[in-house]
Amino acid sequence: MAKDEITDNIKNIYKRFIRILFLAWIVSFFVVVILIRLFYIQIIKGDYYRKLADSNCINIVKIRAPRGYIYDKNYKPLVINKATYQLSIIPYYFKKNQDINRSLDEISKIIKVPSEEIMEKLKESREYILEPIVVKRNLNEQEISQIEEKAIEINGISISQEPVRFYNYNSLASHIIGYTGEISLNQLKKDKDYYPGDIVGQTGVENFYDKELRGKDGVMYILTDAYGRQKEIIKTIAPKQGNNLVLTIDYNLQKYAENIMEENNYKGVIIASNPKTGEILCMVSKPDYDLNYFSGTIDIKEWKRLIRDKDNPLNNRVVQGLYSPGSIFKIVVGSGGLNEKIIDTTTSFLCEGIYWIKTWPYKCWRRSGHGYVDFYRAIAESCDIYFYKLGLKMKVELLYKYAVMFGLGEKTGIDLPGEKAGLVPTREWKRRIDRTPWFPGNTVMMSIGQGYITATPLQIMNIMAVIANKGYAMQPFVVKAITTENRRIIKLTEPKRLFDIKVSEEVINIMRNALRFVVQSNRGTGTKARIKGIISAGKTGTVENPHGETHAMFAGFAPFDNPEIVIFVLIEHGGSGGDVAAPVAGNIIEYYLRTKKQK
Amino acid sequence: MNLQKRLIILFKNWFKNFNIVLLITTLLLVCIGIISIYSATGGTTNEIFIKQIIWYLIGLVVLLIFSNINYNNLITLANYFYYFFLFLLVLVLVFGYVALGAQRWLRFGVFQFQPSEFMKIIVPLVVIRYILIKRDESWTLKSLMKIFLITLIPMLLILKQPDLGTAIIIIPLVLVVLFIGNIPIKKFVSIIVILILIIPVGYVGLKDYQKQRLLVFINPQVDPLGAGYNVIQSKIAIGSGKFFGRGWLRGPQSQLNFIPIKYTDFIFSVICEEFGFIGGLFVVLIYYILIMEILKISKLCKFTGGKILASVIAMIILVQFFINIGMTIGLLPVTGLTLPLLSYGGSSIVFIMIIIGIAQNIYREYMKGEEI
Repeated sequence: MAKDEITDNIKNIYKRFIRILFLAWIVSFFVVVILIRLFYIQIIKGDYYRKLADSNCINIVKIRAPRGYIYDKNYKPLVINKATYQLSIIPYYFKKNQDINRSLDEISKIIKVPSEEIMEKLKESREYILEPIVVKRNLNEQEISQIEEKAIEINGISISQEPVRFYNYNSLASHIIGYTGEISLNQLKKDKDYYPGDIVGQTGVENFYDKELRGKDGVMYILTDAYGRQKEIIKTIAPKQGNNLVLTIDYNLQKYAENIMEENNYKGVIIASNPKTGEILCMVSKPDYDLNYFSGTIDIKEWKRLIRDKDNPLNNRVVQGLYSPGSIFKIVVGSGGLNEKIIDTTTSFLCEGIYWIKTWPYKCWRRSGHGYVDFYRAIAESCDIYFYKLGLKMKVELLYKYAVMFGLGEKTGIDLPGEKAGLVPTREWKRRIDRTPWFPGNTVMMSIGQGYITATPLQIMNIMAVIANKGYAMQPFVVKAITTENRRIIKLTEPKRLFDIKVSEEVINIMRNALRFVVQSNRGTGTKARIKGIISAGKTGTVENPHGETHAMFAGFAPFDNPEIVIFVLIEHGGSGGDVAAPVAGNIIEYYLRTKKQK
Repeated sequence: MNLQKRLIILFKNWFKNFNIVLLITTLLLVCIGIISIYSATGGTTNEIFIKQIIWYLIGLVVLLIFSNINYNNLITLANYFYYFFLFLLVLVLVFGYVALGAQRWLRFGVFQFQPSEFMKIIVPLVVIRYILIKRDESWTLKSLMKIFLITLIPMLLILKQPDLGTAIIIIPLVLVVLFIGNIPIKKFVSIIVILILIIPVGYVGLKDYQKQRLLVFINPQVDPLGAGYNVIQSKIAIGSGKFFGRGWLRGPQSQLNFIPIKYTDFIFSVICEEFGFIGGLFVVLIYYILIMEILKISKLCKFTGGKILASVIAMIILVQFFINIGMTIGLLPVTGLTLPLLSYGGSSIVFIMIIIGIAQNIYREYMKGEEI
């Protein structure tokens, strides 16, 4: 028994030894296979592969990523992409095996491009004979179908797609959206993420949020030989569409506001926002332009017309236009006077229609004068002389202090490019720039918001927002959210406080009541902004300017107790603020509050 | 003083009786790895290069540790490893980190860990333990079915990731366990026949990209620009190296990014392009010596468990080596298996160092027996 076990064991051990030996043979076999193969590739076919390697060079062709969409606050698409079709010719195939002249004639007939021009482009291709040359962009349907027919007989012509911007409502909100265009050399130098030929946002949110919108371009690798001749497409990486933007703008309100401007042929600005959050509800800057001009290929004549237009349709007046804040600045001066206890509500000044400083006359808008006016009347009836006198008591230093406190002279940081800061003058500033001392006359002009002081409409609206909010302003913004293709929100804009004013609550309440009288009292200048059933408040402004008739302005908010909208309307050369701007503001506030209730 | 002496003896014991051939080949591969990763990542001291060196250092420490753990303990504890790693594989499927379209990694802080890698040694360990316990009864149908189940469960989990390469490699390893475990030759042949018959069924279950790879392998003309591109470029790189190679850091195919994922799967192409047939031959011979030395250890070892374990270790290295190089020279389809010790990747290096450490231990246990 024991002996059997031992012999069994020995047998087993021997068997295992043989099997391990067998494994060793397998290992050797595999190694030999690899070595033979290596020898074959490297020694026998080495020259062949060396040649291939030397001619192995890859050309990279970019596939443009579609930009993200832009929606209004209710996800109504304002900007989408449209596929455009372009006719391309691949010279290598085109030149082969056919009567080139006849083919050229046939194509030029369809697309209405002279055949010499096409021939010129073909010659320019030189050795890149396999790279498609775009002969015509933006083909219409008829052209496409005709070319497709011809493509059967003519080699080397093809129709390819490229995404371009399509603006559903042409000029609507054109300044917020902004146009796109090929990247400029300056932009290229500034940012290394971009490449020549990239289409980037030039203005508006297209520019400000370009990195979100642009997506990721795809790439096509084309194998070329040592002479740069293209052989085949090796690999394509599909492009990735950019993220979408959701604006704070309400399409209906925006449309309504633009219509008012268009119907009356007004130039100027309407801007409205929610004072509690800072989200812009509508933003109109007229004149504007049709965004679709900039989509695909831009017509050079049209471009030149836009650039040379004296009314600057490309300018977003809301953030780039600098205006005298006019009588609306009296809110700042008045608040300052009360807060510094230079005046109280019962302080009265005499207005005789003209105020003399030495030999210079400074007029009130009402030539006959207001008589004795107290603070409430001075605001409600916008008495200029009251504020001349107040301003002289405050001096330029205090005027400056309160102007800056109310956000003038500083950018609001809205998410739009090209914002201007405006100017709040000081003695030093005038000495430096003008090389003249500050005169009392300068103070007088400044205290009614004219003269050197300038502000953007956005800043002027913020003066009103501060009063509406009882002491603070929110940072304005136009993009509510950034979403992915399937509307998943990546980033929501958080409302941010822009500044607080250090003015006592009492003063703010006095100012709010005074602004209410502007609209609600029968002697107020802003009565035309009244809305049935809602108490609103506001301030008119009529700004003298050297170019012609006065600019009409109105800034206001509503409802009085719990403001939901603050608005600023500016009609360039419109006339009086109370007669022209106030009714526009009233209409928009009413429309906004009414449609909001319906929802 | 006494303590110091003791420590010195303990320290000496840690390094005693190392198999020199195995040690030298391992270190040589590490050196080649460093040189070629440096070239494959663009010839600068970049993040990947430095990470790889750190992994080599960690790997050598791990090798030392495992060469001091008696392999019999590993066999005894195999079941616990098995269950633990099955658990990890499930974790990978639930929480795993997705990269390159597959969910293979678990993340612990900064470093990622690929549990499937370690299943390649754990499954054979469990089967060895099973055979050692059952002895002659190991070859009944019931026992074979159990072994089949032991193998199948982790394979399915790994296939789900999906990681076809690692899943398939487990099959020949278990076959080696059975073979060296002295399974009757008739049963062995019938198992292989059954496996071959299963292949068409398995093909249906493959992912589209895996089918594509197989099809491309069978006929590269199917897709010369997509899936076939990798192989074509790799072959051009290797072939253009000719006899002496282009020289270190001078391979245009490698340096101009023609070879995809060159520092992991296609590291051998970089070596062959830059060092030519000489370089390729040298690397292949080092592997050959390494594997043969482990088989020699298997032959020397007096215990069934050690013999089988050493053979399995040799086979793991052989299979990965052959599949990876076979892929770069167009003999086998692209599977994503790494080249032992040369490819970039922490899990892969640590794993190979562990099994070489175990092989060292088997040798050292044998030498210990000889000394007495």
